[in-house]
Amino acid sequence: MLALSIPFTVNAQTSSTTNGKQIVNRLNEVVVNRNTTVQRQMIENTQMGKTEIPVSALLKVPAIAGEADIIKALQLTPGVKKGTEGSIGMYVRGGSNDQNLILLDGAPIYNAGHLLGFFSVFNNATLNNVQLYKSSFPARYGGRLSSVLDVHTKEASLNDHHAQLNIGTISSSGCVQLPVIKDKVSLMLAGRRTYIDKVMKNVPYHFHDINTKLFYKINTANRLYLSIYSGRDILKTNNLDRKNKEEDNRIQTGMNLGNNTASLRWNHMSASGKTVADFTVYHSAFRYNMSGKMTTNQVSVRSSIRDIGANADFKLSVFNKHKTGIGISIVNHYFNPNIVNSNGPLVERFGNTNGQKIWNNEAAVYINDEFALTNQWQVMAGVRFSGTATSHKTYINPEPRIGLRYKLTDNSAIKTSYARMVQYLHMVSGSSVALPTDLWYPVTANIKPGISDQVSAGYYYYLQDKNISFSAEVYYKWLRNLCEYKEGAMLMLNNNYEKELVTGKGNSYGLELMLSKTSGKLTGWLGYSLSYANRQFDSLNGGKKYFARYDRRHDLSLVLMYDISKSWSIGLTNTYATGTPFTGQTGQYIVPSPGFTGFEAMSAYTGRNELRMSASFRTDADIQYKFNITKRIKADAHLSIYNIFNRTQPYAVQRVWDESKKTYKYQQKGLFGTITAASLNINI
Amino acid sequence: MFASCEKDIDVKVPDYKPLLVLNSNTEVDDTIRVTVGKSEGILNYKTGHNLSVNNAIVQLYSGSNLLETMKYDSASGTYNSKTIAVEGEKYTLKVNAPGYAEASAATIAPAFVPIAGIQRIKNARINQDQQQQDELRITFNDPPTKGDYYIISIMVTGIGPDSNSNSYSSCVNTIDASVEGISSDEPDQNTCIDSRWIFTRDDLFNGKTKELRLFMESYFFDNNRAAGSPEIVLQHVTEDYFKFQKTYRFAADNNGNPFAEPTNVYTNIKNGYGVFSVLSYDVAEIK
Repeated sequence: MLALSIPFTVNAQTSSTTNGKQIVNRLNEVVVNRNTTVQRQMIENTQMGKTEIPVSALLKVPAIAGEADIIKALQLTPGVKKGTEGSIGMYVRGGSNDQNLILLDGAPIYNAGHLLGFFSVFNNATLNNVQLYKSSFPARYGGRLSSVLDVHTKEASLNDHHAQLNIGTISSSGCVQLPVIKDKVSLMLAGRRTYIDKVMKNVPYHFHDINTKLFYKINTANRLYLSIYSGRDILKTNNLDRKNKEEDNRIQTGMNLGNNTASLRWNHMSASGKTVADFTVYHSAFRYNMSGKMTTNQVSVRSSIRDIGANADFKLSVFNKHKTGIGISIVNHYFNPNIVNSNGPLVERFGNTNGQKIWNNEAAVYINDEFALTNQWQVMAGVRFSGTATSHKTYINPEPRIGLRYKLTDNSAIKTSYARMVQYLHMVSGSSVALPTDLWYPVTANIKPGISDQVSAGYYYYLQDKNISFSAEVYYKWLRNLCEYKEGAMLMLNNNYEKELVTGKGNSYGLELMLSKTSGKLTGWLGYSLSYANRQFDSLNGGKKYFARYDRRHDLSLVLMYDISKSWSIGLTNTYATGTPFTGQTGQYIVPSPGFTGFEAMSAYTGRNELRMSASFRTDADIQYKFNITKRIKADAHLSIYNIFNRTQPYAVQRVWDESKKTYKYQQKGLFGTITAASLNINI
Repeated sequence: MFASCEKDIDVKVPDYKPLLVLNSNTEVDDTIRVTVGKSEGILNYKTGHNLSVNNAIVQLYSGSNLLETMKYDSASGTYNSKTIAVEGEKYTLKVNAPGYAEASAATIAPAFVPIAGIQRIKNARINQDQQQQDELRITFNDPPTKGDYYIISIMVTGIGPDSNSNSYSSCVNTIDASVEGISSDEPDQNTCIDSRWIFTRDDLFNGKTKELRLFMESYFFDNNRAAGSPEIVLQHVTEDYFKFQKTYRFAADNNGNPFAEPTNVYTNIKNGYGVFSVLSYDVAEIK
């Protein structure tokens, strides 16, 4: 709900990778000074809950192993809770991870993580613009309950060459931008790869990403963009049995998963400049394949989800003081979970199946209008009608969106908004761990679409001459038709998923405060959120309400960036977060076996998520040194220290036997201690 | 580069107050007996702790009338009464022990439901593992009142609810919608249901003659003949015992499973754990 601009300073490097011309077709945005514009819009328009991260600011935020990540940077903003320490899970305003619509150049990404979710699929070298919506959703967005993360990659300059090389501890990436036909066609080509497998031969794992973007300027009124992304996580072991060295005893395990997306957008601007149309067709697919082989035993399990969709969006400024958006979208979802191939003796256990093949069509139309009633009052009203057809039932849902702004002074405003979102597919995670193999399920006649209703209100203040802004927002969100696995559900190899799911409801509410400074030697922000997230399922936890998995009461982030000189700067991040809840065993007792032939120990647990891990506190730092290799080649070197004070960042709790005290104790494990890493970015 | 990152947790675990644990599942026409134990906080657990309670005052009521104070038998470790459980009677148990809150529970002894018939059809189908299966058709007459719960066991030896330690069991498949799995309420025709624990209730057949159709691999009936005759036990149980056994089985099946959300075993004991109930059962041999 915070309209937030994270501070950044345009420098030679970042300006070289930002083509202002590319953005002029975005109505309502004027790219003159992005800091000022975004901050000013926070006062001027009705939009709430929008977070925008300039990529240059991202690069200054200290990161684990020096691998800056856009989603981890977003986790430092109010309202976005992290999941497991170090992971890219986003839990926005009490929502779950599947309630985030993640778009890459208009194509949805179904699994935004690499390396079990510790890195996002976004290669920083390719990013142009990142926007996160947490409330007051524009009507053009739909399909998820809690947030929209809209990521746009760079379009290469039509008349200039650029190259960027980022060398990191875990991965390296490169990006080349070049005009193919001067003033007509340009190409951006980028790649990223980890090299753990090259350094440590016993870790045969790597991930890679390839991004391509072709930009064709047909004429001043028409532009064409083709964006293609492909990413893979690959694990392939081939362990020889050391004892007998026989080929047949080789144990081979494999994992291959990743996303492929492609989107083609035609952008048209009318001669008057009052109408902008975007026509997009896209394809998005996520697949995973896990396999194992030993002697004649072989089994592989595959699942996939694929979207083919099209959008038409029109932005109109034909009526005085009105900014109108209308559009239509249609998408075909294809789900094919649990394809099993096995041979040898494993056939008996796993069998062979092509899995279920499910097709779903989803469509939406919307209209949205923002207009000024007076100088003080600004109104946004819109509605989105969405629907989907399953084999036995058709769902159609109106999704009203309303926003209101009242300008108190030239520098301050209050706003309120209401938005309904509907989600026609669910991803359900296993109860205790989140894996890339978590499956997406479409709605059916029995599994209804998820619905969220969110009201929010806020106060905004902007001191333009100091570039200091402050916002305070409160929200309340109702969630309906949420899905969870029933207790004891079969998580894999199950072709009748409906039986394994239960539906329930939830709510979340909270307060978010944000103070940011966007110019000067010292920039940064202080963010705080007080939040509550609850769930209630009739068949879970005895029907009693319980805390959501990543409910954290307090979240505090302080991010400071200081330019010591033209060459040196330092970034410092401090975060504090209440521990996440978990279900713990508090007692035990014994029960006689039937017939009193013996006794069995039974555990007494707390209610679901009744206990909490300890709070986490972490300080990270990044020291940056900028220098010129040649007149044209510029570089910045980073030394980053993650978790300076080596405090345990809790991610799991285990009950273990304490041999010295001859009793049990709880032990909390942290994933990462202090990690020092260096990276180098070179811009040509 | 990577520093150590593990420490003992600082978790605010609420102070654990131990509770009494009562267990009794008497058969109709048998004397009522109860075991009394105690729970303990997991962080106070010590090996070798004796979790039984032998100084409790265990009082048995019929309705609100005190029938007797049950006596502790150190040989069996149970509190025994002279009261014989009679079907349709309501019994209440109140247990007090020094240092514990009073634990209490009530139950109504269910009626005897005889097995009306058993039919075995050999080689009725081939299952997904390409194994021959026989079909068992078990019939019984459900009482007219709603809310009857049954647990059916098919075993070779160790017949009866009082003994299953040396029994042989197998997978049961069914397409009967009234049969409930432990982890899934609607097992399909390929779900392996432990033949010792087939749960069903009369929601779909209240007051009617129920024919339960089950499939088991043929070898189960013939290969185990040396150990004994396969038999069916039809237990008519209380709702409390039904829920207790389902959750107990679920907890046992998922012990150590990191994917399963931990859940408590159902109890009908107020201020305690365990289950107090009475059941009736019938046994029949499968020819």
